[in-house]
Amino acid sequence: MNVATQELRRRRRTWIGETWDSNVGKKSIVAVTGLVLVGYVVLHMIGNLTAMLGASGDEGHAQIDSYGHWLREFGTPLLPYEFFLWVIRVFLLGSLVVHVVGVYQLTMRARAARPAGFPAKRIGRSWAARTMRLSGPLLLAFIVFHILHFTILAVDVTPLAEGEIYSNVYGAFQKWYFVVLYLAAIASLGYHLRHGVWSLFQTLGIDTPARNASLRHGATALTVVVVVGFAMVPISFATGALPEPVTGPNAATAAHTPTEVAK
Amino acid sequence: MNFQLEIWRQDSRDQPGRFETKHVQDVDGEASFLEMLDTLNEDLVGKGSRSVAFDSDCREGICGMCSLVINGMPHGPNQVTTCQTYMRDFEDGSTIYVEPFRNNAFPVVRDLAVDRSAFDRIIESGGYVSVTTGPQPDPNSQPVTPEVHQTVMDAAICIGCGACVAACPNGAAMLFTGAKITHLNNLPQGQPERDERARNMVHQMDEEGFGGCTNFGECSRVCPQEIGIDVIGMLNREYRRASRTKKPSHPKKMVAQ
Repeated sequence: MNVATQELRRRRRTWIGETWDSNVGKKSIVAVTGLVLVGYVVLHMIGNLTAMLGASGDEGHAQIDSYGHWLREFGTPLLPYEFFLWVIRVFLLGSLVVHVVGVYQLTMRARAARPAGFPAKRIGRSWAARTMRLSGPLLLAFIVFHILHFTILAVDVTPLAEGEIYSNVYGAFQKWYFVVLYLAAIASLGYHLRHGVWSLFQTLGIDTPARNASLRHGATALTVVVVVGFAMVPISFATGALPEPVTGPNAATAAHTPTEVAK
Repeated sequence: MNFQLEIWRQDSRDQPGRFETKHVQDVDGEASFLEMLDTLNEDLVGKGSRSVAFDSDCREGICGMCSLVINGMPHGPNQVTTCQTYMRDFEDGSTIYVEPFRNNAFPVVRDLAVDRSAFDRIIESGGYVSVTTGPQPDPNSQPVTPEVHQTVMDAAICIGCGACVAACPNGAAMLFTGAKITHLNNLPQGQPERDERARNMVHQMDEEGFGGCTNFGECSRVCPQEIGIDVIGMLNREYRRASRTKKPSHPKKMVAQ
């Protein structure tokens, strides 16, 4: 291709189109969407921790149920019921789709760039970095399952009811296989974040030799916080550290009896 | 010292390659890897068979011509160029796998020699600076601080060997291109083409078929010049800046009526 046509082809695009087409740009878009997802993961973890406040923290209702209700009626009556929640859901779904499609295309390009040969020695790659393309698909599969399980309530192995978040989660984590499944998902999330969080700063050109140590350690620290924060919930339910859900007319009498954890 | 060599033989670009077993006897431990291949070739030519094709030039570690992957490591085990790799670094009697650099943007020409002109085209697309003709500029009219100078020299030290590409599991040329961009975009002389350079070099990389970076850092660990991955951060930064900068367009001509 001659230089003039090449130039024309390169110049014609908008900056976002041009960014999406190049490897470097596509990676930065993957990094930005990754950052959005990491932000959500942290918020989700904090939200989950309201489960630790027990079955009757908020005037007879579990704190996490009230939290779920609050999320749904956020902005009412100014906004329709669940409007805010759906805005976030659509935004997250968009980010996830862009993230996954971007990574998929980059992976295909990387495969095309390297022919097979004598297996090269792999030097100094962390386990987390090496398994990014494994932990990613695992997380995607888990996200689908997790939404079917606790949002759509389709995986009703244990009794599930709309709005009864605490008892839904309590019921599910009485089964050992759900505990194992969720802990495995948390582990792959940990590995994905361990490399991904630092890597996104490098991809966005924010990492410099001066900031490298703090960014790397920061990514590890965030990973530990997220993993511990998420893992606490299923472990607490499975070991019986959190009380049984309070339902029905007994709810009012059981109110104001703080649990071990809530103290 | 005696070695069994598993050498990649490929007659031309289009033909499939294969590993071929060769034996070398009584090799001096102080011989470089390339000298060992020289003796092997003398042997082969003496027997009337075709010698093993491989690239080499200066043989003192500065030209970046050698392009061997030894036991799965670009240039060999020591993070120096192949010509600076000595046979004493290998276990006597061991089997050594010798391959060309593997990347589809670096087609194998023959045996161990690869065509790295993809790098030349990346350089062509942005590795230049505008120079004003006319009177000689005043000394120190374009000051460069020692810090900038150090950063630039650490990147400009790249010899363009392509080991980074060979080491990369994604076949990316980010360390090489990052080094060029860090070198030229930090200097006052490089400012006029700063954004165009970043964009053109990144696009040229894509057109050559290199993959994308996943920040493993393996490139940096095989680089004989020990260039760090901070140049990749610089490339990302410069490209992000450039892609969002409005391209200068020629203003419309004003008319009175």
